[in-house]
Amino acid sequence: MSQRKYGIGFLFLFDSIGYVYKGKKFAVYLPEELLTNIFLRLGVNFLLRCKSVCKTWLSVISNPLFVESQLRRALMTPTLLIIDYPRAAGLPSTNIVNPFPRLFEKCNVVSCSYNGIVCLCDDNDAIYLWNPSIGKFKKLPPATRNRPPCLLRYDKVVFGYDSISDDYKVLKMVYENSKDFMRKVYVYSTKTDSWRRFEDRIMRKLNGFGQTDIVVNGVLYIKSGSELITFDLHREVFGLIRVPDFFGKNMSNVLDFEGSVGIVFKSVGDAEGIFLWTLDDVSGQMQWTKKLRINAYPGSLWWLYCYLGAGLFFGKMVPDHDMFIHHILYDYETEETKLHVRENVCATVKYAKTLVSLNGFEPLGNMPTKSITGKKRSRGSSID
Amino acid sequence: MASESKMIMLRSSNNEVFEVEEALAFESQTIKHMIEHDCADTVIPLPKVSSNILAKVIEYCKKHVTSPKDDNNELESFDAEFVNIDKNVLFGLMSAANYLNIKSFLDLTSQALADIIEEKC
Repeated sequence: MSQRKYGIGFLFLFDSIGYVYKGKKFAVYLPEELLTNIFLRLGVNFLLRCKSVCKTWLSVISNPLFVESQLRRALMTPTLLIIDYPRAAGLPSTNIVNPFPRLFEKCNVVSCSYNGIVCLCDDNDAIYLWNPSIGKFKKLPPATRNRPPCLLRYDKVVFGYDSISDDYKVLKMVYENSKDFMRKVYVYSTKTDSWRRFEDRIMRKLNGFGQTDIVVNGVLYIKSGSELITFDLHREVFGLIRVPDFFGKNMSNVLDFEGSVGIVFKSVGDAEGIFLWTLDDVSGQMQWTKKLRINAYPGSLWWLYCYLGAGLFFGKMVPDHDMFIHHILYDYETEETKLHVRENVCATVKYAKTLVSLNGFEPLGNMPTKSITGKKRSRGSSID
Repeated sequence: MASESKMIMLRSSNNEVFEVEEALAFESQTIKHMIEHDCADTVIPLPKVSSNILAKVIEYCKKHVTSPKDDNNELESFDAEFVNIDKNVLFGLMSAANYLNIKSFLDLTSQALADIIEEKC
């Protein structure tokens, strides 16, 4: 085991589990539970390298219970995964860490990421589930038989996590033929690795592509006009939630605010300003309650994208005087707003680095992508 | 603090005896359990903890028990300084924290070790 390959940190830890190393026996013996305790505090990249040190370490880190504990810790401090799309070239890209896989070049990110898993889909009906932290992915089997490409354009794909069954599900709402007036629904379950088809009249309510969606407490909420279409991921049942009339048309994305469904809207009238409202269970009834005021950019709420946790709202906008996208971080507790300039059009996803690997996941392999100018470039990064 | 607090005797692996107040000893769930369930005599044997480690554990518990609850900054700087030590001692402290079941101390020492490891890589 060379120092150069594994670094001082490995030797330091390796020493302490009582192994004989270079003829010296070390007195300190570290039981597995303590090893786990330390591993839980280390980053995913480091843990992936630790797996190849010895069998004990491999078994501790691969243990599903460990993966679950690591996941729970990671979810407590979400970060952002920033993916710079290759097709948005022309502007120089900033500091990137991981190469964006060529396989996903034509894909769009679907919904949010859950437990470190990202869902991607492209124009040709291909859907992928990917964990960028461990570099593994799987391509979903096709849901429908070949359809004319013009119909593919009206597909709505949505991704969510069913915590009750520990199942990652993908919903596909499609027009099967040009005579359909309402979309059919296909639900994919990672556990069964198969699609199930059904119809629901609520699909009539889904206008156009729907807007944003989020999973809160095992229920998917899809914003569609002034209603929220709900889908209980476990029972696989649709529902509908009305949004108060006074919200008007000026509403933000639907958010997960500390375990409740939230919408930010701008009120006109006596309580001028931008407020976050959440849907909560108040004595057995679901009610919208006003939660807090958002003091960043009171003129508009189009910048608001998602809630990261720990008081931070994240968003994007292109200010008037500029042509670059700015990332915005607004802390509602301190009422501070921070801006970061991003030079490329990109997808930004609320993210947590985890070791979660799904059935059928295979490694990506390092495939560099090329820019339009022909130079090799890396894509995709994460910031804390 | 009660004027007559009960004293507990703890014996380290190398037979050194430490006398501590009960409130301090009760920071350790292991010791607390032993005393509450009458599993120990006058002296509690701790065969897995050497005297220099035990001395440091007592020092930590003493600081945390006697500090006023709202003085977080002072406790934080005490903790930071406390784990700024030789890694072998740190490992010993972590093992002791685990054996004696002192959660805050276990978190402190584990985190300190994790920080050192990630820093060195």
